Amino acid sequence: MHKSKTAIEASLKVVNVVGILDLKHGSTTVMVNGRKEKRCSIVPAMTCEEHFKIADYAFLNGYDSVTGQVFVNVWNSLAKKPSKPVGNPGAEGYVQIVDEAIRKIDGTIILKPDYDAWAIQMDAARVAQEKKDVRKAIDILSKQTKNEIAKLAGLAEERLRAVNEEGSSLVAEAEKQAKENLAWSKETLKRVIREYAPLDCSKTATIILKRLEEKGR
Amino acid sequence: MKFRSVFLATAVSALLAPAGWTQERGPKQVPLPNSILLARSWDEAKLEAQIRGVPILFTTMMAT
Repeated sequence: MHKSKTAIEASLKVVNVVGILDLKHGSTTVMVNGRKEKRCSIVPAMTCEEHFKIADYAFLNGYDSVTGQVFVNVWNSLAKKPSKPVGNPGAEGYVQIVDEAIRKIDGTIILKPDYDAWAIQMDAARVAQEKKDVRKAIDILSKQTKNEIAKLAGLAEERLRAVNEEGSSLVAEAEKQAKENLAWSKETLKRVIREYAPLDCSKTATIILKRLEEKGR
Repeated sequence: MKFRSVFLATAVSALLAPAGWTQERGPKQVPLPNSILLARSWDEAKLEAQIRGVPILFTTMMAT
């Protein structure tokens, strides 16, 4: 199946998982991003523990107990309601299963390349936030709010709102502490102005800082 | 038993055989040339499936 271009193309219309209830077939070492990683010798895209957990979930959540051959079935996007497994469908059978599953979907779907491109950017934003590089995270998220796919743009907006709320909390705290610790408050506001631009919290911080400086004169 | 293990490995490999490695991508999936991209957990699959509005295709082998 892996050599079938149509099957690989069809696979992009759904999300694929593989489960194998066996941990004894051994692992292999592969290079990922220039780093050695231990992966499953049968499915090197994952570890044996990962494919075992995937299979374990399937068998605990309604997958028919079938044995002996490769079986494929469809689950909904909540990983529930498994359909009846089909044995060894081959490339053509796989494409047919995918197309039938997609026909049952209401509304628009997002293609994998579009999702992946978006997910990579969202990951980068998350990493930037973890490294306290708020400005970089905001830049990435702001670009994604202009994503051509409305749903993906909306999810980026949601994340951007959360960042703005984080900045707003800092502004509120700085305002609250101004009487007791003016220097800290000013420094915090300056940080928000610098790091959270162009978000609303940055504009609010500018107004409050100006007010504090005017009071100090 | 050994024959069976070899058969299982061959069957799944035929379905998903990798031909090499490129860059790891977000969230956690590893693109293998000429192969199908796989989510590495149900949680990852659910997140992607819900955002994309698509179903999940599950492939398995029971090594028993």
